Amino acid sequence: MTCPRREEVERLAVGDLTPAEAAGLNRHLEGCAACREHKEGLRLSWELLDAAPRIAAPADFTERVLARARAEAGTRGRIVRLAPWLGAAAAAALVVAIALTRHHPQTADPDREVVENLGLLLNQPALERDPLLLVDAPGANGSHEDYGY
Amino acid sequence: MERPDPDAELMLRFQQGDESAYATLVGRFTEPILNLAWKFLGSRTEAEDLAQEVFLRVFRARKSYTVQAKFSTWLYRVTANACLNRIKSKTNERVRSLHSTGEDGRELGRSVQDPEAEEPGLGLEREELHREVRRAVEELPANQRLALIMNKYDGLAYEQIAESMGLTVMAVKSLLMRARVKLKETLARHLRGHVS
Repeated sequence: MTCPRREEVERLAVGDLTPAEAAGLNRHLEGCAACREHKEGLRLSWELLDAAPRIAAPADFTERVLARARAEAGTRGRIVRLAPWLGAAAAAALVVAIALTRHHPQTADPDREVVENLGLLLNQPALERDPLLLVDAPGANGSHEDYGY
Repeated sequence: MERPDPDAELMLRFQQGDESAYATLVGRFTEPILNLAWKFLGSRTEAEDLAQEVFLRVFRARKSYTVQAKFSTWLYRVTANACLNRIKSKTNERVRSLHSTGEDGRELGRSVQDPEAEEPGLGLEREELHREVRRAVEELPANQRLALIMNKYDGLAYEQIAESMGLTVMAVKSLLMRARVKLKETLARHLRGHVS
């Protein structure tokens, strides 16, 4: 039969009893074999957990984390740093396109010509062929201090 | 003003751009985080992946990091979130899989035994005990398992566990109490002779 004070034994195991409550339970334990066994079982099973092994980290773990972090930061940095360049290029393209339109009044659709000139000036195919055009070099000391976020 | 703990100081140095401070932090905490993840997930491969994810989160958070608690408590909070999210997504995955195949499910969130984790050269009895202990821990519900690992293996105080898991100290004690009762039942076979 289960002792009604069993749960108190469990609370004792996690330090959830006041000193007075613990003293009262300890007096009870002297006369209650079921609670004593429960207490001992909780203690021994807790000790058995010490048998769980530990694993060692791979020797290159830190390097791998750093490589992933640098790669991620590099990607974000490129996107953020590309934005001002794109903005300036687009503005320049617009100015040139408007000038071209004024020198060719016979163009039937000036808006279309602006778009075509933008494509040429941004040179998208060249960027696709050579993505290194967008890559930032790390700082002089080799660090990536400004990741742009 | 009280100075922050040495780990928090490293994080602040990293915030100023010192990458070596970040590397030091990773090196210092790899083993505890990796072992916590391994005990929680039961797979070495998954544990390494999760540990990497934790340190990447630290990396991403460097700009917003402020010293509010011990660095280790903050790191354990990041780890606890990552662990519980991992279990959640595994559970969702399994539910999706059940919907598509209709097969019977094992206990949610429990992982397959990791063959790499077995230690060669151990006596059979000891090896079996290792396996049983790991199984007993893995069978605990996620919250109980996490609280238990942090307390038993990482030596975290109840207050730290509570902060890491976003719980009250009372809730942590309750989780640990239920975990210990369940462990006693699961490991009963190994307790024979000591208790009835």
